[in-house]
Parts: sequence; C-alpha cells; structure tokens
Amino acid sequence: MLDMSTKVDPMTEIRTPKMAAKDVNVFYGDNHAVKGISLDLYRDEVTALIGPSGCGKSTFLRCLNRMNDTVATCRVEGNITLDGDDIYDPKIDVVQLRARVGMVFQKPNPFPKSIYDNIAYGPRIHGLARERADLDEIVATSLEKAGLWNEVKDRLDSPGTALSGGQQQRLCIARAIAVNPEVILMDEPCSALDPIATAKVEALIDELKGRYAIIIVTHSMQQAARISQKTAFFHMGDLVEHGDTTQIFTAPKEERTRDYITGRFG
Amino acid sequence: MSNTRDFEPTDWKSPEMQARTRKRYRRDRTFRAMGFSAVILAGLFLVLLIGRIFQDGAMGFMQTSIDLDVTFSEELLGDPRAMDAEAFEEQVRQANMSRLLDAALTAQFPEVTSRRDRRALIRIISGGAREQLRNMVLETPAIVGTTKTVRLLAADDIDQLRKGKIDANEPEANRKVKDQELGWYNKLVEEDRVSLNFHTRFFTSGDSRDPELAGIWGATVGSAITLVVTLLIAFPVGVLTAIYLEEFAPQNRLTDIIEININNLAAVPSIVFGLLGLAVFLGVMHLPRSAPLVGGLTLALMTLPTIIIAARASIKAVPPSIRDAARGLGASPMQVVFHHVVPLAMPGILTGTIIGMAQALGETAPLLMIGMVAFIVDIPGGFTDAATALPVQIFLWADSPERAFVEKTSAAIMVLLTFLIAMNGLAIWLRQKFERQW
Amino acid sequence: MNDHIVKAYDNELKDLRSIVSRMGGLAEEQLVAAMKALKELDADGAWHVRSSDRALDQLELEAERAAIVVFARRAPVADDLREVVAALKMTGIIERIGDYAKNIAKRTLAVHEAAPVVMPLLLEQMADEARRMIQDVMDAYVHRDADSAMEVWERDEALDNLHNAAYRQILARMMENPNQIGALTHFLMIAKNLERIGDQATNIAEQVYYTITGIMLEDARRPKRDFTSTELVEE
Repeated sequence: MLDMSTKVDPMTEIRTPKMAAKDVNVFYGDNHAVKGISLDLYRDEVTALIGPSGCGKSTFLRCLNRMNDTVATCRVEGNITLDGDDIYDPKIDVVQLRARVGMVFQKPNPFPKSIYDNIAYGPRIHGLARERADLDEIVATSLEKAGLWNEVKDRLDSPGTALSGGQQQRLCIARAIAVNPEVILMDEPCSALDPIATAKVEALIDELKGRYAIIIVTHSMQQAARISQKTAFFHMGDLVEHGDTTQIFTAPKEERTRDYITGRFG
Repeated sequence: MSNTRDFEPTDWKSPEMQARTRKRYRRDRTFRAMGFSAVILAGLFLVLLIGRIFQDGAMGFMQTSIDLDVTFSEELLGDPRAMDAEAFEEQVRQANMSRLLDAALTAQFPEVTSRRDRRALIRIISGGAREQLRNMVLETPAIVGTTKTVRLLAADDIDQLRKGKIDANEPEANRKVKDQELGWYNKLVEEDRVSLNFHTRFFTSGDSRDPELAGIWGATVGSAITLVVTLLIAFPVGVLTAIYLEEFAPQNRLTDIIEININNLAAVPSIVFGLLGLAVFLGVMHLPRSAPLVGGLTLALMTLPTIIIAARASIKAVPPSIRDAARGLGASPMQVVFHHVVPLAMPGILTGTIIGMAQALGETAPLLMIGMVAFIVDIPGGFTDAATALPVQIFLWADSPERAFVEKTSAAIMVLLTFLIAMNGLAIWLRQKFERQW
Repeated sequence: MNDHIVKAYDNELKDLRSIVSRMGGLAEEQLVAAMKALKELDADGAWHVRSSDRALDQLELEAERAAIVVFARRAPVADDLREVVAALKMTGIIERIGDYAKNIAKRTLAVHEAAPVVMPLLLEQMADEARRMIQDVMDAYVHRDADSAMEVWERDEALDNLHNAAYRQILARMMENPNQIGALTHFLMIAKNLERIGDQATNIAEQVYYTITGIMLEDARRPKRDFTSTELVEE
C-alpha cells in the first residue's frame, strides 16, 4: 500500500468524515443483508462500492438516506452519522435528510414534466427559492453544474423524458444538485447507458468531486477504478476491503478482492 | 458400443418434416379462421341489434300532424282588446278548447252530424291539441277573432296509420282504426292536410300516457341529477380508497380482506345494491322515495368497486422509479402521491370513472327498488324531486300497451346508446390525450 | 487528436508524457555534463553527474507508477494503450542512457586518478552525434512526428561509423603508447558507451514511431555499421 499508492496527505488522517457508518447491520425479514459494516465517507472524494450482485452494496447505499424506510420488512441496526448526527435518530426529519443526502438511481427517472420543472421540483418543495428569479437561477446553475445547460437551455419547457438516456441521467443528477445536497448517492447510475453517455456521466462525477461527498454503487469494476478515490469491496454482506482505489486495483490485500477484480471469482 | 452417438444432421426436407410444416400451417390457418368467424358473428349480432332498434326507433323521432282551419272565436275566448290582460288570461285558461276543435272539425267534415260520430271524429286529434291551441292564444292574443290553419298533433292511432304500422287492408275487426276514421283520414290526406314532421316535443317534455305527447327530457334530467350525485360520492371516495390501499395501507390480513371484498363487490348483481339502498336510505335514513338523491347514492355504491379497481390499477401502473425519484429529493409521502402518482394515474382513473358512470347511467334494477319507477310527468328540478331515469323510462314504455310506445321505446334506447357511446368516447379521448403528451 | 470525454484521463496521459520528456532532457544534460567533465578531466563535475543519476531513477519510478495507475484505472486501448506501453519502455531506455552517462563519469574519475591522457577528438564528435540523436528523438516524441523519429532511427549508421573510427584510433594510440593503455581502455569503453547511447536513441525512435503510427519497425531493418564486436582490427 505504501509503495504503490499515491502519497497520503497527512491531513487525510485527521479530517472528520462527512458520513460515518459504524457496525451497520441490515435485515430483510430473516435475511441478514449487510453484516456489521463500518465505513467512513469523506466530503472531497468519490467512494465506489463494488461487489457481486446481492452483496449488500445497494442495500447499504440506501441506508445512507433511509430509502429503506419504505420497505416494511427492512430493519437497520447500528449507527450512521451525517456530520456526527445519527440519521436514524427519531428526531431526525427524513425529508430534510434526503435533501441533504441526494440520490441518483439506476434507471434515469426524470419526472414526466418539463426539464425546468424537473429541476425546480426539489427547491419548490423545500422552499429554497423565494421568487421566480431565484428558481430560474437555481435551475440554470444546476444544469450548468451537470454539464447539461448548453444542450437544453433552448428547450427548458420540453419534457425531460424526451431527452436521450444519458441526458436524462445527467438531468437526474442536476435535479439532485438543485436542492444543494452535501452527499450524493448513486446507485449504478450508468448501467442503463451506452459507453459515450457513460463517459459523460463519469466526467460529470469527476467534476462534482470535491464539492459533494459522492458514494457510487457500480457493477463495473472499471468504472469504480476510473472515477473513485476510495473503493470498498462488498461480498455476501461483508465489507471485505476498503482503501485507495489505486491500491485496491493494483495491489489488493485480500484474496477475495483480488479474485473478484481479476475475474477469478469461484 | 458407445452409448452416445453423434447427432445426424436434421433432414429438414424429408417428407415427414414437410408434412409437419404443412400441418402446422393448417392449424395456424384454422385458428385464424375461427377467430375471424367469432368476430364476424359478434359483429352480426351487433348489427342486428342496432339495426332492429334503428328500424323501430327512427320513426319515434317523427310525429304525424293534421292541419285544421281553426277559428279562434271571440265569443269563447273573450276580446283581448276589451278586457285587461289578467282577466283575458283567466278566461282563456277556463275556456273549453274542445269547442274550437269541434268547430274546426265540423267545418272540415260538415257531413258528420251525430253526437257519437263527432266524438269519434275529435279523437283523431291528440288530446294535447287543446293545450297547443291555448298556448297559441296566450302567446299572441291578437289571434282571437281570426281563422288560422293550425298544425295539430294527430292521435297515436292515426300516427301509426300514417307510418304504415297499421295496415288499412286488414279486416276492420282486427284494426284499431275503424273504417269511419279511415275515411276521414283519407279525405284529409287528399286535401294534403296530413304531414309527418320531426318531433321536438320528444326531447323537451316529460312522460305522458299518450305516446304522441310523451318525451324523454324528464328522464334525461332525472338521469343527469342522479349521475351528479353518483359522481360526487363515488369519485372522491373511490379515488381516496384506491390511493390509501395502494400507497399507505400496511400489508396485513385486514387489508387483504378489504381488497378481496372490493373485488367481490364488483361482481355483486346490481339489484342487491337496490335492496341495500331501499333498506338503508329509505328504511333507516328515511330519505324521500323516487328521489335522484337516493338513486345516486345507490348507484354510487354500485360504481365504487369499479372506480376503486380501475384507480388502483392505474396507480399501480405508475413506475416505482418516479416514486423513488420524488422520495429521493425529500418529498413527503403525501407529496409523492399528490405531485406525481395521482397526476400520472389520472387518465386511467378518469377512464375507469367514466366507464363506471356509463354503467350507472345504463342501470335499471337498483332504481326500481328505490321507487324511481313511478309515472312522473314533471321535469325534476332538484335532488329530492320525484324523478325517473332513462333506462327506467325505457322499461316503463316497453311495458305500455299502446302500439305507438314501441317506437318511442326504441327511440329512447337510441338516445341512451348515444349518451353511452359519447361517454366511452370521452374516456378514450382522455386516455389518448394524456398518454400522448408524455 | 480529440480529447477524452473524461478530462482526468487526458491529464493522466499528459502527466505521463511530461515525465518521459523530462527524463529525455535530463539524460541529454547528463550526457553533456559527463562529456564536459571528461574533456576537462573535472572530478567534481564527474561526481556531480554520478549523483544526478538518482533523479533519473526517481523519474523512472514515477513514470512506472503513473503508467500502472493508468492501466488499472483507465484500461487504455488503441492509441492510449500504445502511448502508455511505449512510455513505460522509453523510461526504461532513457534510464539506461543515464546509466551510460554515469558510467562515462565513473571512467572519467578513473582517468583523472591515473595519469591524465588527452581525450580523443572523435569521442567528442560521437558524443555530439549521440546528443543530437537524443534531442531529435525527444523532439519527435513531443511533437508526435513519426518522420523525424524514422530519420533518427536511420541516423544510427553515422554514429556506428564514428565508433568504428574511434575504435581504430584508440587502438592505434594504445599501440603507440603502451604506458597509457589503462586510460585508453577507459576511452575505448566510453566510445562503446556512446555507441550504445546511439542504439538506445534508435530504440526510443522505434517506440515513438510505434506510438504514433501503430507500426513496429523491425529490428532487422535497422542499419548496422558497427563491426567492432564482430571483426578483428588488423593494423
């Protein structure tokens, strides 16, 4: 690790994590889906969660903004904090939590409304804009940050669903950005996209890095290698290995990690 | 000897293979032919039904009239110039208009003298003619003292004779129109005083014992008020139920039981809802009989399962990804439902509602049970007025002995079918309009 | 060439390329410094060359790391793949050039310690030619100029010819002054080093040519005019 990875900034070790999971267990009925996972997530890096299907990575991701709440049989144990506050505390307002921890889904899912309304929806329900001009600015800025402004600025009134798949996904990212989140969760955001659209979304993630803590679940190890600074490898609900992406992909410490990323999984 | 052997390349051109292919093709063709025949058969039935109704009902929109020279005698009606308006009106209302008719007919047929014959003669004109004359005088008092050719409705038997429904060649004993009347009719025809005209009264008046005076407006208004009640009750209750069951209800036994029972209710015969309405709304709540309010409530009960099932289906059809997206942005459960799910499900919900309404519009049995089957001449003006509904009106007319009600029945059916087709058309239009947009 | 959609990828390749060209420049400087020290028999200069070689080693390591990161994270293909593979090989070759320069410096110290002997002029010519080859091939690399690379590749012949001449000249001087044989042997080896540097420059040219065009220049086609290791020189 020491010789292969890029130098570790001494600041890295003392800075506080944006989100921290401690000994998190998730059960679906009797199924123990996530087993005692502890993971720190920092503001200025992209963390990729990789692992075979059913390894618990998506489940873990959805715990971070309590999207699992709607699943009746789902039970979450352990402690997840956002800026030190337990997000499963009954006093935490889940609506505010989800505004702070945004989410982008596997399939691009723009609302069947205009591009403008797609972006404006979040700020509207959270009352982030006082007047129309503020809202216009939020929409423009969000689309700019998502690298979509030049492509759609002349047709903000046309339906978001009329965009191409890649544009739709970037629209969804812009929509998440519009509520000014601190963390963005992405659940396989490129699995429904062609390689060019994928590359554009990855370029976008790369540009957003630093402004938001980004946690991305991906089936593509290459994608994890391309866009993340930290990689966590999940297997059967366990967190097998977590470290610098370069280290994981050049010199993994665990045998299971190596077998998985090299395609030797038995 | 080895157990395994290499597969021979399949000989796709062997006779057996070709026979198989031919057989497969034959089966395909037979199945398609059967399906096509089924469609043709169904189409034939439909054409037969519609054709029959049309054949019977087309003439129901027409009515025979007889032109008579009526002298509005000053002696009978009073002089509008000599007296004030109220007194004149009073006198006109009291006047026996039959005397005007009698005089006109006597002028037309001077040879008819006997009291009995003259009574028979006046019966070739509809009983409504007196009302018609009275209204003419009240509208234009200046008419008094003049002689005018007035187009008066013929009695139903004469109307049937004119339309060829009564055969003049049959022996007199088997015929409703006797030889004597036939003679008068023929004389009128020769003088070109008999005509067949479009019958607006059919669309503007209420029920009547006389077919030529009966109309469907009363029943139409009754149906409309009833449906308004049904819609106001069934739509909100149905949609809210569907939303709750789909989006909020916990998955447990109670929910399951409710779901099963809603589905079962959709299959309950409508007469049962009528009995329920009778027992609850009339028996327990003592609401007025024959009122559209009660009819609407009863039909709402009947329509609810249809609306709930349709609404649930279209709510379920909204992709979960939309809910995820909204929830992921921090929308509360209610915001998710009312900002996203319901608007997207609305076309489906509306379609289901309209179809439920159409079903309610065509329903007779429950209305019979709560007394909306009475003979009602007046046009209903409110939710608690006695009223009847279109399908009940059809039922009533179909039951009437007069020959002329047959065509009125069919004409009313045509009007009802037009409403139903229009409602279904609206449903289709709504669905397509909203589905095309996104 | 168009940029990658992901800018970071472009930056990583650019970094790698800059390490390689920095190494090229450094190797060239080392050669010049070593020759200057040799000409002036400057022990301090020679020591300096010897210690500076560590910078090249360091850069090579850096390039290796960068290349591995690109392999691991970007899974490069086509032009990018050739770029990274070639860069990896070129850094190895340039590091070898640095080693030759260091070797020259080491021999300078040995010559300096023994009785001073005048450096044969041909060595300076050879060093000049080798330096120009390195310079030209690195220019070809930076400017992605396949033709220039090919030109350097063909120029090896001239250096080989110079080496043949120097070899004979030094041998002749050995026969004339047997007491200088120790120092002259060092000069002989230095001539060989310079010739090897030329060979390495052609190797670099091959890599540059391959990176740009995707065509491998077969070794067989390389002009070879250095016969010193295959024939005996008769006087």
